[in-house]
Amino acid sequence: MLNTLVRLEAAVGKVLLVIIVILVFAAGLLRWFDHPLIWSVDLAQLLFLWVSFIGANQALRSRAHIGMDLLVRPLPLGLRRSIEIVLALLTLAFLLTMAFEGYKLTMLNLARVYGDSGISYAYVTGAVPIGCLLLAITLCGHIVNLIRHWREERRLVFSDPIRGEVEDVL
Amino acid sequence: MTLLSLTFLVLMLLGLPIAFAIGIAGFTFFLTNGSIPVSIGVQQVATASQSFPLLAVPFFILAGHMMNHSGITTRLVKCSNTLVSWMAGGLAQVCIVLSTLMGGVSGAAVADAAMEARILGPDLIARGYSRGFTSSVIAVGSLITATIPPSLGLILYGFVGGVSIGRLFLAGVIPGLLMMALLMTTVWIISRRRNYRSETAERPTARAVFRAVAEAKWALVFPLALLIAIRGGLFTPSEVGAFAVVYAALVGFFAHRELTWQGLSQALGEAVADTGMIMLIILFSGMVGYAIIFEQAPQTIAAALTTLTSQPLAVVGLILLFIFIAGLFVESTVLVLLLTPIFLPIVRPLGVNDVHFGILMMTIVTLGSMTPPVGVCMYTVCSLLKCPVEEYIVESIPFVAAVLVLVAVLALWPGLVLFLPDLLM
Repeated sequence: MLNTLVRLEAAVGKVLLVIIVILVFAAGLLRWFDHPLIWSVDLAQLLFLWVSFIGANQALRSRAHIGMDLLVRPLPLGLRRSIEIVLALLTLAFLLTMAFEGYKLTMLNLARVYGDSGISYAYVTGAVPIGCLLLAITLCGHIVNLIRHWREERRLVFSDPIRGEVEDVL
Repeated sequence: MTLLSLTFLVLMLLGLPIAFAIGIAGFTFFLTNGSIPVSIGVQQVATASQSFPLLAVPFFILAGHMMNHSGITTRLVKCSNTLVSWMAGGLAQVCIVLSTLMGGVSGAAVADAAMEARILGPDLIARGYSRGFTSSVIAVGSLITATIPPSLGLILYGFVGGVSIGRLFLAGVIPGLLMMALLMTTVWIISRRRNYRSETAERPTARAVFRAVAEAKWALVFPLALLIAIRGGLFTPSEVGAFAVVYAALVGFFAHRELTWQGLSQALGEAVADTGMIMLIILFSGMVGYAIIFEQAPQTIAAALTTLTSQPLAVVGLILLFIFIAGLFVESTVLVLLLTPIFLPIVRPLGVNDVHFGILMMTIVTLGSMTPPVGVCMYTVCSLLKCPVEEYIVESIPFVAAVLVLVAVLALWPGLVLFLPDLLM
């Protein structure tokens, strides 16, 4: 079930990226032939925000977000884990607040029309609460996993000490 | 502003990913400032993405990944091998030339450095080049990739500062080529002294050069096409980015016949995750950007600076020194996003050209990812090649010094940077 959802998310991200490329490519080509497609750029920018959050969530799942571990790397594992859990809970609170505030804002934006496209601006603003919620869910998963496998694995929340931070970046 | 900076620093030093550190720090501003509703913060995150030039970021990332899957990268490796492997320090020269050629199709230093560390690094070490030297050549050499258009850093600078990305791209060409010449000279001097011998003592024949260039023609033509497209003002950088993706797909499917559906899907997946990683930082920094402008940070810092000196060159020098020091510790995307809106308004009234300043700033900022203690490029290459960081630090000194000399030259002679954009646009 979880695996299917992860695969679905990856597929949606890829398809959206392809659509964005086609939209901007077509707009450039048609403008060249004096047939500007005004709405295509608006739609591309809208989808871009969604792709960004989907990609950010995938990067969080594979613990790939860049951080600076210069000071914490030499710390003993237990202490490092405690720091990471506190940071993760703080981030969780931040993400959930963003999701809640974003939801309120999206409801306010329902009537606002986006650019020249006639699309509701709520589709833009809506990406923030949904994206933050996705990130929050993934982060929860990491925290739960860390606590469940506390003894048998040397796992962290945001980074992967086994593979080394750097290969994660790639 | 104090609370914001302090939160950011503490969270970053504790190891929280930079995207979240910047988000939480920016959020504190909206929480503690009584007069601005929190929803404006959310609004800033959404609007941070709604800029057309920013679309060039995913496009050039995707194009870069597709080059690797469509046989363009391997042909460029062969081409640079034929061209320069006969010189002193042959294979190291190949790395520098490859970074230059890759610069024309790829926009990110880290991607180039990682690719070279995997493909060329082991060869160099096997042939007796020291690990530190090999890592330094690859890591610092990738700075050329970030300078030659297309360049992700310049796109971001243009986006934040409202500077023409087409002009920035053109301005990057000469500094990129100068950097290649300077780094090749550095490699040559060190190799002569240490007797790092060349692969083939013979210079390549004209025929061999012709054949290697013809093999890589689709990759070599691309940067020229890109510059012509942007230069003519026919297409915006974002549209050119979309063209680059389509171009890579066409070359991979039809000219080289190496791109498979599986390869395409893999490239798309990698590009989505990379885009997400960079964009999350950009999105969340939207809140900090709002705070910077609201609190009039540029004006405050400008006032402090002008009490020191009002000589334009000295001000630029001080700013570059500050950026260099900040770059030692902070990731480059973040520096561009946070410092451009502060420093550009300071140097503009002094008569400093914004394209010129952009090239200087980008070079220094990107150099930060090749220097300790915090440098993504450095860590990437060192971990892939199992090079101790201490060894890297010692061996990278001549290369970093060469780049700093180049920055000083470019700062003193703006003409070197502005010649091409002024001539062509």
